[in-house]
Amino acid sequence: MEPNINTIGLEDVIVPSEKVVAREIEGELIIVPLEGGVADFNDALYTLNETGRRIWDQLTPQTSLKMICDRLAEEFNAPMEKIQNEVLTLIQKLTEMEIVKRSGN
Amino acid sequence: MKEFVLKGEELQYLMASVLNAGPESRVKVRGRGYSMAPFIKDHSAIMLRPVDQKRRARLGDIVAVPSPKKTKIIVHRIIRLNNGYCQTKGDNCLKADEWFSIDSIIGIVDEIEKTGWIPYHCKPWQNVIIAVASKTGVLNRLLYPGFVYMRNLMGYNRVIKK
Repeated sequence: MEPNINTIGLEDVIVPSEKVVAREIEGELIIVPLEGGVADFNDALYTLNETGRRIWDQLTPQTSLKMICDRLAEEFNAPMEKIQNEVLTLIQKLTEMEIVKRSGN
Repeated sequence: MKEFVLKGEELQYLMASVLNAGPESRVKVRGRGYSMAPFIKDHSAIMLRPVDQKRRARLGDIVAVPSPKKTKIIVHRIIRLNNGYCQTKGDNCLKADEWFSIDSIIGIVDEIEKTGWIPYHCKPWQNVIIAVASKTGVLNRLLYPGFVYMRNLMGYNRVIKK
């Protein structure tokens, strides 16, 4: 069976999509999805929990998901497997929502 | 991830951030109230475009601005412009709003959703007539039937399907 090219792996480098505007408001990161350049304020705006926010802050073209997991495991003193699962689940969901994308895409 | 509801200054900041993202950026919001009927009816969706060098605010434009206490966003028509300051008024309001700096305009109404998305692009001379009509109260709802007739005559009911 061929691997699903849409599945996110730890070696992937993920960055915020240009299809969103993210701004910090009173300590919360608010993510506004843009569809065709239009932000629908009657539609959903999103915010991330603390772990999600830590992941988001590290989404740069220089950082792979593995590097992010290593840092989070050290920071939260949590099992690596659990961290990797959480990171991959969140990134997969955000990718499907076109909030993040693979770097270079 | 959870859904988030914003109001007041936070909403204004976020809308301005989206519109500042580029000249093609647009913000879709739903208006409440009857102050701009029949142009914008209660719960009609409107599309805002950014104010920039290419498209400055002009007399007669319908613009979104923070209320004086910044607790909500007002979508009213510019009826006076002077030295970087302007005054707005709801077409159905008896009184004009307070003067404010044009820099505080969040966005200009670009399209209005009715039976589809209707572009709201008036020529400057049309804008002046509409601004004067709003200022003098001619756009009051009592004259609505006459207004609808004129609007149809001038071709403002062109619908773009999206």
